[in-house]
Amino acid sequence: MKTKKIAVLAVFTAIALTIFVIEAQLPPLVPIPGVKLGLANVITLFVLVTLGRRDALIVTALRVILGSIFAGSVTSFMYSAAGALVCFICMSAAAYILKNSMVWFISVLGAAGHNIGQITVAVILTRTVQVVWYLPVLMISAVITGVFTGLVTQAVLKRGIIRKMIQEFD
Amino acid sequence: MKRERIAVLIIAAIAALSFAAIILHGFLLSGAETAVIYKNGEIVRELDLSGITEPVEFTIEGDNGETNTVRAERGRIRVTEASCPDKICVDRGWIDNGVIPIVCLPNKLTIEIRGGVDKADQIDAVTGG
Repeated sequence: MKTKKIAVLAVFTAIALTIFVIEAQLPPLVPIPGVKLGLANVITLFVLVTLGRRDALIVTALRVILGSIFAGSVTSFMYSAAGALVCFICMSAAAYILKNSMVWFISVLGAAGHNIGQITVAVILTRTVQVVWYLPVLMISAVITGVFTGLVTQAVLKRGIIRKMIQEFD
Repeated sequence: MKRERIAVLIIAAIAALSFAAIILHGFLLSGAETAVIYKNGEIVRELDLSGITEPVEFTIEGDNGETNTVRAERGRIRVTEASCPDKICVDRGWIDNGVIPIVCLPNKLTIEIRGGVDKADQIDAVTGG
């Protein structure tokens, strides 16, 4: 990997981590546990669309590990990692099929995948299958927050300044 | 344009399925709340709390003359009178979920509610991003 590439990915990881940590400090928008905007996913999605799958995976993995060190616990790391992994698989598959178009929709699928991953971990950790009944609530929140973060990503992509910055690095 | 329509349809389907599941779950829960009364570790009475229309009151008696009077209303249950010295079971008041049961140690009586345990407010807020 070229040094410039490492630097670019480090910058994106830092941005994602900052968003993640700040978002963790904000009071919840609605009084339902597990519902949040997931703004850090904007960076994952952005990197996925501009730089590709491999780089997006690197940035996301680093963000999850470092994020749990800065603002989490072992339990939250497991939820976070499972959510991020399923989210990444969904988004990279969708981005491949849609050829990086309709970013807002890729974001919704990612948010839905994120919740499926988290509920799966919750079922395993609590050993109660009943937790699955919580999934529909999270799915509705995923549709709303997914569209929102997707539109944010599209807005950032439209700006083009960051894209230009990356191209200059290449 | 066409692909966007498909995307909107998929999202609408997810939302509709989720709403259906939430409603179904609420329906299942409302039919599943049962109060189980144990005496000496054995089930002596089961009550379908969601099926109660009029409040019911009855007394559970033991072999040694000890008594606990239980009152059940729609969705909740309590001990109103007891022969035990400490009256902890009476002081416990109404319970309407399966989190903490009513226990009367001197009279070896336990009342717990089954079903409806996984209400959203009982899920720990441990999920992180």
